[in-house]
Amino acid sequence: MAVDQPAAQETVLVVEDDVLIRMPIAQYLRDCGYKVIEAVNADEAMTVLLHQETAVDIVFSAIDMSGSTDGFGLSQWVREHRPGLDVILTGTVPRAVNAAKQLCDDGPMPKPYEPRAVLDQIRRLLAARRATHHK
Amino acid sequence: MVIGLNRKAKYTGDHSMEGDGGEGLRLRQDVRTSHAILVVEDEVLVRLMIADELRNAGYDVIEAANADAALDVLAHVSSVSLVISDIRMPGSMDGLSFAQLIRSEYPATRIVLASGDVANVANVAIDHDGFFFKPYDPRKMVDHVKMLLD
Repeated sequence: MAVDQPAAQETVLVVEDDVLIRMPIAQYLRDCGYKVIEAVNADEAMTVLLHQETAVDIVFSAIDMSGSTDGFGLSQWVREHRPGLDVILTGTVPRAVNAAKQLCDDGPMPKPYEPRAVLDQIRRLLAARRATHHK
Repeated sequence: MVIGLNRKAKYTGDHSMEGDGGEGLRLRQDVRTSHAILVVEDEVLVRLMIADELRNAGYDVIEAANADAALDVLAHVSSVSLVISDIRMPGSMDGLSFAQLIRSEYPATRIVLASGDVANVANVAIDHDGFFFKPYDPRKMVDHVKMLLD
């Protein structure tokens, strides 16, 4: 694919309960050079994030999901347990999307989304994170 | 290229979706391998481990957390050559029922089963292409997959 590769392989945790939505965006991000970990709900995502041997650089999560909590809950959990780890939320319900603005500095990504837009936002947030770490 | 809501879309190869003209799961990329492996496992860290090992071996891997999601994949992706499935899973059916369904509906698809429950061994009377006790060495699973597919 003629897409710029990330400098070093960074890891995106994609959290989405619909396999037919998760599958293409995960594969797209892999083709863009990222390592992608797939989780089907917030509970799985938390398990991955608590696993010390598994590095995660950014989270891309649906808002509406089955499980003990939704994307909002996951985002709040990340802020408490993994401060500094960016979460991009995506959803379809206008109320949910507006509420996500409270949790995401850059606002949510409405569904359906262009994969390139997801890639651009991931790149931008990871570049900002790298810049912060190098200061 | 939009990834979104329309579940009527048809997966066209590896990670490209062809919709019905509406806002569908439409992500068209270059077609790659002819062998996609579907890993069905409800424990995320186990799924991650085997999926990583298979990807490192060069296979396209699709991940599903239960049989229901796996059937969704099989209905939309024609390139699945082999399914690796846990036996004990939540959802509408366990791995044994799922394997039987694959045998009847997708007879060309290989099925490898895995379980950490010794009692399941005696129950695996259905036709399959391999059985692994959990925890298993993912490299041995990859070797088995290579033997089946290559």
